Amino acid sequence: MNGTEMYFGLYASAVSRIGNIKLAKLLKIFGGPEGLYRAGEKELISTKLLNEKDIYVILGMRDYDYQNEYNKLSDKGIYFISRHDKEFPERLKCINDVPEYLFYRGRLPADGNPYIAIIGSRNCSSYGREISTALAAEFARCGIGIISGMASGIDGHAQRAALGAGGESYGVLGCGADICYPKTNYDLFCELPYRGGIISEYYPGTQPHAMLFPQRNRIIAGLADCVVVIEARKRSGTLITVGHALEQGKEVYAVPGRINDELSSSCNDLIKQGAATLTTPYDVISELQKIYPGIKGRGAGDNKKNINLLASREKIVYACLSLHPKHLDELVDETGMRLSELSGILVSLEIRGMITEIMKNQYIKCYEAGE
Amino acid sequence: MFYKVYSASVSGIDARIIQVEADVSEGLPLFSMVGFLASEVREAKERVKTALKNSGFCLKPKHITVNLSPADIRKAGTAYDLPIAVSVMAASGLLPMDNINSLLIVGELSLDGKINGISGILPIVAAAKEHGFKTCIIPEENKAEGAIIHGIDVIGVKSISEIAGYLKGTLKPAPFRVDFSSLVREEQEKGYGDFAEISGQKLAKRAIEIAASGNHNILLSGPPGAGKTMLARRMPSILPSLSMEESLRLSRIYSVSGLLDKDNFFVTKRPFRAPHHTATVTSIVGGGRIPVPGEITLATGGVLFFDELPEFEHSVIEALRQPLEEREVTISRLDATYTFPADFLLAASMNPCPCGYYPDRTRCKCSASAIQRYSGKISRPILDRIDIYINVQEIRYDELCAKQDNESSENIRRRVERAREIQRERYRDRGIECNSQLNNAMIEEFCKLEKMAREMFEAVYKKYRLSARAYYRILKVARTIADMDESDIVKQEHLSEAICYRGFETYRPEVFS
Repeated sequence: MNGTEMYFGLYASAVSRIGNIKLAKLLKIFGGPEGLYRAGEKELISTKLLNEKDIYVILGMRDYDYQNEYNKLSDKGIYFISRHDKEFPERLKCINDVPEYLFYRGRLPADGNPYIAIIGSRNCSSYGREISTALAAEFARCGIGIISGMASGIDGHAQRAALGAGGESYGVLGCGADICYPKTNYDLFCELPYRGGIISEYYPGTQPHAMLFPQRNRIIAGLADCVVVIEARKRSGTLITVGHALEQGKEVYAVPGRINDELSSSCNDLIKQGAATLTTPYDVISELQKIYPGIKGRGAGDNKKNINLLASREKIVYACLSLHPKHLDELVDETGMRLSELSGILVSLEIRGMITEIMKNQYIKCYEAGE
Repeated sequence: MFYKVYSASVSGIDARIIQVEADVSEGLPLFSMVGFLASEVREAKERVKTALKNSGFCLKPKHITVNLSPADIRKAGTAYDLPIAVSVMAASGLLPMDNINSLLIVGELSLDGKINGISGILPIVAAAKEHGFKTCIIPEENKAEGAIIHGIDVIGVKSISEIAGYLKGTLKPAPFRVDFSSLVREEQEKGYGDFAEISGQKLAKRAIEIAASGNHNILLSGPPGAGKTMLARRMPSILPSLSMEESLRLSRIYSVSGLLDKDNFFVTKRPFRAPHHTATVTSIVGGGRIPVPGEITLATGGVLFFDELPEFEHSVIEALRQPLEEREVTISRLDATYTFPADFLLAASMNPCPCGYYPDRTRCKCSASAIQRYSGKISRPILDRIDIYINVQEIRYDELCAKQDNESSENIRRRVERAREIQRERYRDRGIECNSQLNNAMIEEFCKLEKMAREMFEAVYKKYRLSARAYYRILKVARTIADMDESDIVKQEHLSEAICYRGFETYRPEVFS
């Protein structure tokens, strides 16, 4: 886009609140954003696509000075791109309901690189947290980028782990690209533009709204080569992303949970319906290698966990732990050790990064990919 | 004719001697009272007149003036009824005027001439003894409480005619004596339940024993119904028995607060105070126009339990900061500054999240921010003063039903007493009694770590990114655990256990969600 195109484009993206599909049709009818900008009220009505409110938006948005608006965006480090630009991600162009415009900070996923979307519950359990962290870290080490929604829970843990492992990650937001939501992920919000990007189809300044999130899920699915679902309840928003992914013909991997675990019920259902089961990161990586032969087979992780190096008493304690939190009292019962001995072992295991005290006096094993 | 008797007023948890002067002279019939009186003391005039009439003493229509001196202290309470009555009777010539100088009189009057009990008898009798009085005349109701003080005769009276008879010499009641040996000291653990009644909860019981041994403040978190309150309520049953001085000190506080009665006139058990979470700052720290002790003072020597800590008003929790540090509370009012003891063990309980079940995500649907908000309600300065923090888990069915031989509170208490003994011995010249009172310099001196423990602590310090304050708190608790083990040096096992109980400070918010 050149200068004026850019300003008209901004105008069109501001109008996109009437709905992306409607906007696409209008742009077609009027031959682009400039045509839309210059269209009179009668012409708009004659398209028979719009209600009064839409027309009000279309006319009202003309009051702004888009040159000035564009300068403001540049100041904030936000880039603006149209679907017709050549930088626009190729893979997004082939989905239904292609976003007409994108705003982003940092950069956009490159066309020739592999990307995996990791999505899941916002209120995840320690199990989900450990799995998402371990998977994302391993993917990142293999050179695969992580796409997610920067939400709390699974999304945030996965993206944080990807950055921690030195990989790249992209957050697709349901609000303007200049707004940090949720606030608790401010670290990601600041870090992602340097190590990937923050992407949004909404005009900067748009506040998060429940209606916007299902919409952005199609972009998450669209940008990724496949989707990994970790912990999703019944009727979870994650299923919307899964729906988009299937529609776009992308593989969906579900991480199984315990069958009575409410948090994993949708994951288990997905598996029942034929989704691929993910038990190690290599389930996905080996599939992706067929498309991207450049992917490393195994991340160069510092495999610090070697169970054989543990003392025998430590092994007993370690064997009692799983990814579900276990209380100190239970450990005392199961190992039969005295509290003072047990606490010593727990502390030394935690120092070595084998276990984590997830909550006061409750411990889980640290999960490492490929275990 | 002029006459005066002695009485006393309670101020804080002490008492001061007040002279009640009466003058009866010719002139217009009038009963006037002066001396900076509160309205209940002013009303004494009506009670005295009527009670005297109903007891068969007839006051002549004369000019009666009563003064309570020193006149610059505000007089409040109903203890002056009886001394006013006696001084007026004596000044009117209804009583002989001798032998009253060595007497101290307190009591409230009923209209029918009966004498009712008052609060604060213990400090009053103690002050009387200090000032060289030989006899105290106090309400019959309070006589057991007053008799706790030795070396002074305490006489309980029921009515005006009885005290008149005594002063005239027609009645000679024997001073009331209490035989302390009859006060069963073993009452200590009664009424508080026994730890033998609690199955399972090994960690919590151990942590509570450590808290009792070193007088450390403790915070229990856990899901509803796990038994946090049940555990905390049994805490006084394992604290060391009260010594005579401690009992007296406590009884004084309870006497002033009006919490002692005929059957329960002496505090023999360590207090357990559990104010409701709607409590106001004043009710917790003490206060009022004339300050009275609050919960923290009433919990002196025992346990102050805050159930559902995050539900308490922010200001209430904040108000605990100074007392926790100073072990006393100073309340300033216009007329005076009062200092009450506030040497208590703080126990508190809380749920980990609004619904209480986190991290069990099958039941807890609280959002990460809700969980953080909930635990964030408690201010850091208070958490910094809590040495031991543990999680209490719901008890499993098999544990609940298992007929185990749980250890009784008495057994635990013996161990606690032993650990306290070791600490007292060690800190004899330091002006402190237990590990929780150690300051940083003393910690360096007394909490010597063995080599292995030192190395582990260094790794832990880095791994958990502990603060200096957390470092010292862990050392204090480790010292207590070593004392329970009767070990001079702090070993690795002591330290690692203390690390498991470490305070809230090292709580990592990124763990949530």
